[in-house]
Amino acid sequence: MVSETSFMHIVRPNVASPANSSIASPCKVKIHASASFQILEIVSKQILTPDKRVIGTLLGYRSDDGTEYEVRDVFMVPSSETGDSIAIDDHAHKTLFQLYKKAHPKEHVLGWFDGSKTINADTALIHDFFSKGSDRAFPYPAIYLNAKYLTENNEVTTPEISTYVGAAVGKSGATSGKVGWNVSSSSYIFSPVPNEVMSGTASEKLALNALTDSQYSESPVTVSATATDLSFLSSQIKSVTKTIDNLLYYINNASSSDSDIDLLRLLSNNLLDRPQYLTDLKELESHFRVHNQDVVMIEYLTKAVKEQIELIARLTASSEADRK
Amino acid sequence: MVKKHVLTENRKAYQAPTATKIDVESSALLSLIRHTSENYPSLFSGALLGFEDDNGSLDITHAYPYPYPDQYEGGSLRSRSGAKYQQDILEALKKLGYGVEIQGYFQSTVSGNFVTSQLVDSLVQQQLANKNSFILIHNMASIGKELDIKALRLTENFVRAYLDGKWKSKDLEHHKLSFLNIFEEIPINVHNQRLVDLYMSNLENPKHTDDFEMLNLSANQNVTAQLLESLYSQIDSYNYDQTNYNYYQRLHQKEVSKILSWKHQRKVENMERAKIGEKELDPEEWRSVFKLPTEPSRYNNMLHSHAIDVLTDDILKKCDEELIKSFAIERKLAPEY
Repeated sequence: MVSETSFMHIVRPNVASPANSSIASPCKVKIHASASFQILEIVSKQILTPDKRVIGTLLGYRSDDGTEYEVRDVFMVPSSETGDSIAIDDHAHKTLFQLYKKAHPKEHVLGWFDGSKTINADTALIHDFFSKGSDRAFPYPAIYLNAKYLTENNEVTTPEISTYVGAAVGKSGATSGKVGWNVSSSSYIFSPVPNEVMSGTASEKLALNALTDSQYSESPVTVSATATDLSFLSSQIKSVTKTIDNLLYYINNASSSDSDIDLLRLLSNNLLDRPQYLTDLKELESHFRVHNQDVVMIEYLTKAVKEQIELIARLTASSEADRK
Repeated sequence: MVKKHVLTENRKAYQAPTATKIDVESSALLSLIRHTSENYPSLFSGALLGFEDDNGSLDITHAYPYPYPDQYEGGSLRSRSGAKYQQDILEALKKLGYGVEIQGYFQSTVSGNFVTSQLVDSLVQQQLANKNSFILIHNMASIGKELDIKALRLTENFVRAYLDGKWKSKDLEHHKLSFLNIFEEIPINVHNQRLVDLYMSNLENPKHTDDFEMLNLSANQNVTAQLLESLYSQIDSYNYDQTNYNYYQRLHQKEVSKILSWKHQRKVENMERAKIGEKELDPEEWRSVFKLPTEPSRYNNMLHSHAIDVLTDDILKKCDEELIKSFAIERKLAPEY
């Protein structure tokens, strides 16, 4: 993955598309973690047929000015290459997109992805397909995402996800809108644009963290928390303790460099600068006591309800059992 | 008569489930979590697609939410539009060459509220059609702080009782059923494809910085209030059902005491008759004279009980967390104590 900071946008590619953003600002692609996993799952079939391209559609949001993209979901589109022409299953693309659109009315087709090793003439053909026509990226420019994980000799390496925008070269309108194209009809320049993997909601982050943790341990990941289990809380507290330990270690070994002194100053300022109400310990203590009592009260009453319900069920069962 | 026939036919069709665990593909899990948590507090449900493998686990590879949010838990599971939508998705995926079938459902909910008769009804139908059907419950009571997802299916006891269609205490005892064993949980494993594993292990900073939202004091305040709200309404419904039952109990008591006095009277009468040498009257005749009231169904009582049980568990957990945090902070503030 190319990090965002390593990009220098000298000239923004001139992407010819009716609703293209007018400002020549860099564009950026955000990929949801789930979408990136789905892409990898789909392109993993590439290894079975190294000569046949596995492609799919990118779905998600784009910002109003067209400079930011958010890839949220993907699906595969069947295609077949025969000699110098390529056939994309337009119908399958349309059906799946319409179905997806029903549940996600605000999302659009953003572009397409594949897992091929090189950008060649066929890439331009497919890009052309996704740039034009209804139910595709039109009138916005399409983006092209490449998930490369095969070397020249078809060996698997670490997947690398890169994103591009395509700028048409030559006379526009030279391509025909049919399913079969001629190779020589259109050409594109693909310019790389930065991308990053993101996760939206806090729940998603939690799930992803659990998944990354499992990378280093053999035990299978589970996501079900039993109601009485407080292990998550304790792991969070442990992690805070660890951070504090790290900080203490750092402070003890701090050098007299400017940045370290600034850090120490910041820390001590933060510690001294506490709100007024924290100084009156007595008052605070009574607040805590009241709060704890409230919580204990809720706990007590809830427990009473729970026991009562269970008692009723057990009594009914045992009286029925006695009757026999 | 016709209905009974259908029921007996279904009964033959019930097969005990064979799946012992559920393997969810990480991409499917993440996209379903995203959809449900993004749309919180709207409730969503959807279909889970995948295949059954040979060693007793269900592999879930795709999750598709239904187009519209649910009014209540289980609302979309039997709707015509939902059924059509999932069928369309299935067909479209099959055209892409995926060998998947619909294996189960997911439902987002808050704590014990998912125990609705609609959800249970549709789950029974699903389990009869496909023995390994299950439902993935995403409990959003701790949304933003902790993840709580579990896979449930109805127990054999429950399905058999459901097929009998009788819910008196006697029938519950006969099926060894109580609110504690309506559902059984199936363990979930999250599974990564190798390529995804490879990709993840090479990400520069794969781990997001932990949000310590959960550690804030009173972070659970709103949720606890909401859970208590739900608990009240469940207890209200429970009590409503209970009044019917109490009425039955009073009636039953009255009839029983009538029968007892009748029996006593007949006994005295028979003794007198024996004295004057007349034939004894039938002491069992009360059966035709009195009729005991029929016990109302305990079905709703059981569902409400289960909902209350789950709710109380969640509330207790929230309280425990709160107390731990509160005591920890208090200690640090006042070291002399």
